[in-house]
Amino acid sequence: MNWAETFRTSWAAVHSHAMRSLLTVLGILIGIAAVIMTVGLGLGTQKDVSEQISSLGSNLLIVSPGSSTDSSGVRGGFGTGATLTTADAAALASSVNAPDIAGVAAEKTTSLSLEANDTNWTTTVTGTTPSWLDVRSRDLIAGEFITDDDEASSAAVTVLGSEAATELFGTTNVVGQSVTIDDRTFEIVGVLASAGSDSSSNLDDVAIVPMSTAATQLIGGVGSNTVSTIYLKAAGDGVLAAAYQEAQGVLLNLHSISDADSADFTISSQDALVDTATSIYRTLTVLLTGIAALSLLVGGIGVMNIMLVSVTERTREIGLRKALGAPPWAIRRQFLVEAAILGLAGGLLGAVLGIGAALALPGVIGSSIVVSPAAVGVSIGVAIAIGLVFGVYPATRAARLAPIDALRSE
Amino acid sequence: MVDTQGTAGLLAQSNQPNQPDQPSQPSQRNPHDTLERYGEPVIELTAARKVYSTGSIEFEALRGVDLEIRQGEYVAIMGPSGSGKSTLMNILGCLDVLTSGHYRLAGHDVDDLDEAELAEIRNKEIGFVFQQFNLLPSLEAWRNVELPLMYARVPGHERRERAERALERVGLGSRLGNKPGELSGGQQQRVAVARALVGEPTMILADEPTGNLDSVSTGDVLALFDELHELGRTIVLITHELEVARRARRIVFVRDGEIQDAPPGHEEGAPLREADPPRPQADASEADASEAEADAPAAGRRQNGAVA
Ligand SMILES: Nc1ncnc2c1ncn2[C@@H]1O[C@H](COP(=O)(O)OP(=O)(O)O)[C@@H](O)[C@H]1O
Ligand SMILES: [Mg+2]
Repeated sequence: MNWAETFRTSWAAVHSHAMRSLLTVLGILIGIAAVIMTVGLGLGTQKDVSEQISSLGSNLLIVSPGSSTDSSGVRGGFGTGATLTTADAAALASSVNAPDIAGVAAEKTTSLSLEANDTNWTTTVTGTTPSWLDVRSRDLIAGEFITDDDEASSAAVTVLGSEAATELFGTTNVVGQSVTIDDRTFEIVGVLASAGSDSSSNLDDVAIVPMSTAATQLIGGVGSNTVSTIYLKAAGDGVLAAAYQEAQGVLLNLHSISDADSADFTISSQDALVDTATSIYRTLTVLLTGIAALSLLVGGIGVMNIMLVSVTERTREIGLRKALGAPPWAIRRQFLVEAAILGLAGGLLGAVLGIGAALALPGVIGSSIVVSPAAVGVSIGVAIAIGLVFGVYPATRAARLAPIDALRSE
Repeated sequence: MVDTQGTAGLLAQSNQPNQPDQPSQPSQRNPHDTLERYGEPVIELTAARKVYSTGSIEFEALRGVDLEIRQGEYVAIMGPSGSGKSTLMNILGCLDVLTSGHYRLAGHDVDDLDEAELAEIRNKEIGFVFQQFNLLPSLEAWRNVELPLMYARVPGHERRERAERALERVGLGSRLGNKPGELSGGQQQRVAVARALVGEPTMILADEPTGNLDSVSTGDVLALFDELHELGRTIVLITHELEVARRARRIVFVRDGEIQDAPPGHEEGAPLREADPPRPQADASEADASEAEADAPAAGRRQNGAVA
């Protein structure tokens, strides 16, 4: 009995009980779909994170006020104290104190209402310096960014994010128009290219103004020289750690704090962002992996069960085949192939379901799912393997049946 | 009925070659019989015992059977129900193994072969015909017939060719593609005979092959066996019907797990071409013989009413 005959025979057996076979492979089907989703979600998160990293700019360090007791490095106590000032930013920009820091952009951020042509829109107003564009790796689609002159003269100029512009004017073609911020009229000098969102904010729904303008005209409060965040750009890929050390040293010194553990600021890198994203994805992964493992186990037991039924139903056929000269291995192979076909069917159907879910779900859960052909191939292989593993016992039972008992059975 | 029953020649332990020169009784079906000379032993069974154990209960179904069947013989094994015929057939067919004693089949010592080796022996040496036909209902006739060739690893095109020839041989050349459900009982049994023939085994072993057939189909199948016998096939046919057994050239009576000798004085009129001397140790009482006689016609009547 060659392979082709074996497959023909086994397929006929599966096919003749199509409904039963389908129900049997349901567990494998769900398990494989979950595996494809898990891998897809992992890859999707990776993709999301790397997009976020490039949207934030590479080699970026983020200094925020307040201490972090969170050892994972996640920013703690955002805005809990007004401990960062424009003086800190200036010190960090010094090439003597911090040679590995190539760019510094302090941000002073608040939420304000903008008005243009009777349209109101509340957005994040950010006061910053001309270096921001480079440090945050942003681009303009129109006009210019704020300049040193604007900064020096506290000019009433603004650069709108593409979404803010669209909300106010219905277009991004707004350079030269005016917008009212907090009862003051600002001239729009530029529009930022879209950068999507990072983990905490919409990067396109912003209005950028000179730092000095923000400090003196828009955001008073605790002190006009305090800032919300300082972004640092390291001089290169390899010097992020050095830049981190330098920034920490400069700020501890400036704040007269000797112990890094009691620092009144937190420096984080994008590793932290990756960690945050990863931890969300891990939770989902654990969940889906659990579902996958459980389903595959249940599916495997289902295959074993139905194969035992199949062996019992076909005891007489087994006896006949043995009488006609089928050696035990041929019988075993016939039933193993049947089990493998069940596994394969579950795997293929599961792949279809998994891919379908991967296409449909991102809109619902807001996270990308990337279907990897390799993962699909491997999961189908796993499904076949499960069929085989759980088919071993029934197939061995069939192979061991005494021909005489098998022939006698009714 | 009693006469023909009694004339059945019995052969227990026959270590001598057959004697073709011995006067043969006229056989309507096989006039060439006397010209034949049988060949090498195909079946050599010595002191065969089979004990079935069910829990603590032991049952001795074969109690020291000696039997020799030679190449080209057509032998019927007869006996009442429960006498051990099927047990004997299972042993002869290598479907079961002896508790003690020896069995040689076509020169192979079968006693200590493992299951894979036995499978190969069954495939090569034996063509089975069962009472229940035992065809696979999902396969067309020719697919059923090619099964033994599949396990003999004969290539596909040759299998199909040989299966078709075997089906033509049994008169079903026009039914190659029919599934068993589309064939009558007699046709199904002929497919089974084709399947038994196709691998050209050393012997054909038939267990009550006509037990589920009407009289017309029974005639067809037995005529087929006659033809095969004339072509020199070795045929062992197990039956409890005297009418069927009489078609064979030799009848072996089994009773209570032993092979019985011919009741004395009944040799005349036997359809057999030889009669071996009775086993000296056999205890062939008149009482046993009459019981055996009583059993066979009763079974025969049952058969006549049976419908496939
Ligand atoms: N598997 C078995 N276990 C126990 N006893 C059996 C088994 N098979 C047959 N027997 C007994 O052995 C005896 C012979 O049975 P069998 O060979 O089937 O007789 P026959 O075919 O002549 O009717 C019977 O008494 C039967 O009950
Ligand atoms: Mg029987």
